[in-house]
Amino acid sequence: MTLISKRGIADIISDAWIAFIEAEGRSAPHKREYVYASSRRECLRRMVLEMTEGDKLPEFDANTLAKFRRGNDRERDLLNDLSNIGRNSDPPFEVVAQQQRFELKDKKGRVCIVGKTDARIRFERTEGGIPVEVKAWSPFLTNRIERFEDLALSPWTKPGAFQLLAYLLGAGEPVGILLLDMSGLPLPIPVELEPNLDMIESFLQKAEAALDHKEASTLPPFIEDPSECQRCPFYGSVCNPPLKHEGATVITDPAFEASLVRREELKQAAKEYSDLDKAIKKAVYGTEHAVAGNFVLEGKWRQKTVYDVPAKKQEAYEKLRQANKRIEPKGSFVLEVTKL
Amino acid sequence: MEDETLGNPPTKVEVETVPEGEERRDLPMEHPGREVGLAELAARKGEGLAIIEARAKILETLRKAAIRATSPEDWLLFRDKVGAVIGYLQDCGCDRVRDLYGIEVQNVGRPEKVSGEDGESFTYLIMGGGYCGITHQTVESIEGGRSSNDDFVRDKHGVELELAVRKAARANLDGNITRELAGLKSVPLGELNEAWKDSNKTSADCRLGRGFGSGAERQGADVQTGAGVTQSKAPKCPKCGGPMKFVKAKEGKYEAFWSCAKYQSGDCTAARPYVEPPAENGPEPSTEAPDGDPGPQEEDQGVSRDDVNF
Repeated sequence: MTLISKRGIADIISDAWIAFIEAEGRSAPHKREYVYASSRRECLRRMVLEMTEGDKLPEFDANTLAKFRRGNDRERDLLNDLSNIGRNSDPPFEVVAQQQRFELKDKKGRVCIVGKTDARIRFERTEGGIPVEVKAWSPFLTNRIERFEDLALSPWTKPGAFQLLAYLLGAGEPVGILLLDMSGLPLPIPVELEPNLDMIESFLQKAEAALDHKEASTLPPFIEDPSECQRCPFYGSVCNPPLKHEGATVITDPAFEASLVRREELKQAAKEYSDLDKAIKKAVYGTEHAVAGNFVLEGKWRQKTVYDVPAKKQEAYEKLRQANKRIEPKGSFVLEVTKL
Repeated sequence: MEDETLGNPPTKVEVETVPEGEERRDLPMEHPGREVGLAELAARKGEGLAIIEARAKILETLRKAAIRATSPEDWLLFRDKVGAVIGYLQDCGCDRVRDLYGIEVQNVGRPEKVSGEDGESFTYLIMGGGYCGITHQTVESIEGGRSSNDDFVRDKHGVELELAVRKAARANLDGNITRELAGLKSVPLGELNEAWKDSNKTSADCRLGRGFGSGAERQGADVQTGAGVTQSKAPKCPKCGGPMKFVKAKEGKYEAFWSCAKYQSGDCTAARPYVEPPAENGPEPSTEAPDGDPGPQEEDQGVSRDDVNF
C-alpha cells in the first residue's frame, strides 16, 4: 500500500473538489440581449459591454463557481425554511411562484430589463403575493445592512437594491421583502416601491440608453471614476479608459503647518497630563481638602441630574432608537494626523 | 481642580498668524506644481530659496506618504550591481499611490498583440501617457506589456490566457506611468524602512527578486537561507544537537543568525551567529518576477539598467 503524506491527502481532496465543481457545468460568461435586473452599474459603458462583449470575459474559475454554488445552496435552503415556517406563522403564508421571469419594457416598447423573482409569499385569502428576493452575500457586506437604504453603502450590494425595485415594478406590487442570509437568523427587510420610484426610473433610463447603444453599435463615454474601473471585469481587456485620480491637497499655509508642528510637540505632554490628572483625581476622590508639597487640593460635591427611567421604558426607547437607525455614508469625518 | 496645580503653567502656543486686515503672503509658489522660473526665484533672493526648500519638503513628505500607503508585499527587492538592496514598486502597489499623486493615465492606445517566434507565445503591448496632478509633470509614449510566457499565467489557456495577458499589460502600463511620475521605480531599502517606521510594516515581508538566489529558492525550495547557503548546510544546535534554521537579518534590528529549529515550540532557544561564506559565482541571475509583475525591466523607456542604477 502506498503511503500518502498529510499534504498529499489535502491535495487529493482539493483536486477532487475542483473536479466536482467544474463537472457541475460552468455557467460561462455570455452576451445578453437585455439588461439583467441584477446588473445595474454606475458605468453605462459597462452595461453595454455586458450585452455586447459578455462572451469575451474569462470563464469563472473553480473558486468563483464554488462561491456561486454556496450562494445558490443558501438561497434554496432559506426558501425551503421560509415555506416551512410559513405554515406555522400567524397568520400563515405560503411560498409560491418561485423563479418567475419578469420583463420591464422601455418607452419604445422594447424589453429592457429582465429578471427572475426568487419567490412570492402569499398570505391566506390574498391575491398575488409579495415578491421576495433572497441574498446570500458575504457576512462582511450583510453585517452593515439593516435597512433598504444601507444597500447603497457598498458598490457590491447596490445593484441588489435596484434589482428588487425592478421586481416590484415588474410585478406591480407596492412592497417586497429582501431576505438577507446572516450568520444567525436571516434578516427580512421590507422594501417599498413608491418612495424609491426615482431610483427605478433612473435604472430604466440607463437600461434604455444601454439598449440604444447596443442597437447602434456604439459605446457611451468612459466613466470618470477610477474606482469603478478597478472593479470592472472589462478593464484592460476590452475597455481601456483613461484614469483620473484627484491627488492630495497641498497646503502651503505656514500658520497651518506651525499648528501641526506645535500639536505634535504637545502630544506627549498632553497624554502625560491626561494620565496624571486621572491618577490624581482617582487618588483623592471624595477628599474635600488636602495639601501635598506646595499644592492645595480642593474638591467639592456638586449637584448632578440623574434620570431614573424604568427599565421597560428604557427598553422601548432603545427599540425606537434602533428602529430609526440609519447609516450615513459620510456621517462623520475622522482625521488622522501622522508626522512623517 | 485647576490645571495649573499640576506643575508648570502650560507653554504658550506660539503660532504664526496673519495680522487682521493683512492678506496671506503669496504661498502658492511653494506648491511643487506651480511653474516658477529660475529668474523669478532668483529675483526673490532669500525667499526664493525658501520656496525651493518648501517644494522639496512637500515632495519628500508625499513620497514618504506614498510608501506608507503601500504594503511590503507590493515591493520587489533586488540587489543592484554593487549589492545594494533596491525596492521596485509592483503594479498592484501603484494602485495605492495614484490617489496621493493625482496621477492621470491618458491617451491610452489599443492593445497590440505581438506573436512570438515559436508561433505559440505572444505578448500584448499597450501605449499611453500620464500626468501628475501634484507636480504637473507629464510623460508620453509609455509602454506596458506582458507575455503569455510570464509566470502568473502559467495555468491559463485559450481565451483566459489571452484576456489575462491583455489585462496585465494594461495594469503594467498604469504601473509604469505611476512609477515614472511618482519616482518609485527604484527606492533604496533604507527609504522603505524609514517610511514604515512606527508601523507594523517591515521590509522583511517584501518579495525577493534578482540577487536573492534562484527563483526556486525564493519560492522556498530546498532552500535558500542566506547568500547561497542551503538548509542542508545548516549547523547542528550547540545545545540540543537538533537542526538549526536560518533567520534573515532585519534591517536596523539584528543580523542574520542560525536559530534552533525548536525555538518556535519553546523547547530550545539556542542561537549562533551566521557567518557569510565567501562568494563563489555570485547570485544566480534571474529576470523572474512574482505574481505577474514583470519587475524592473532591462530596457525601461529608453533608459538602460545601468543608467538607473539597477
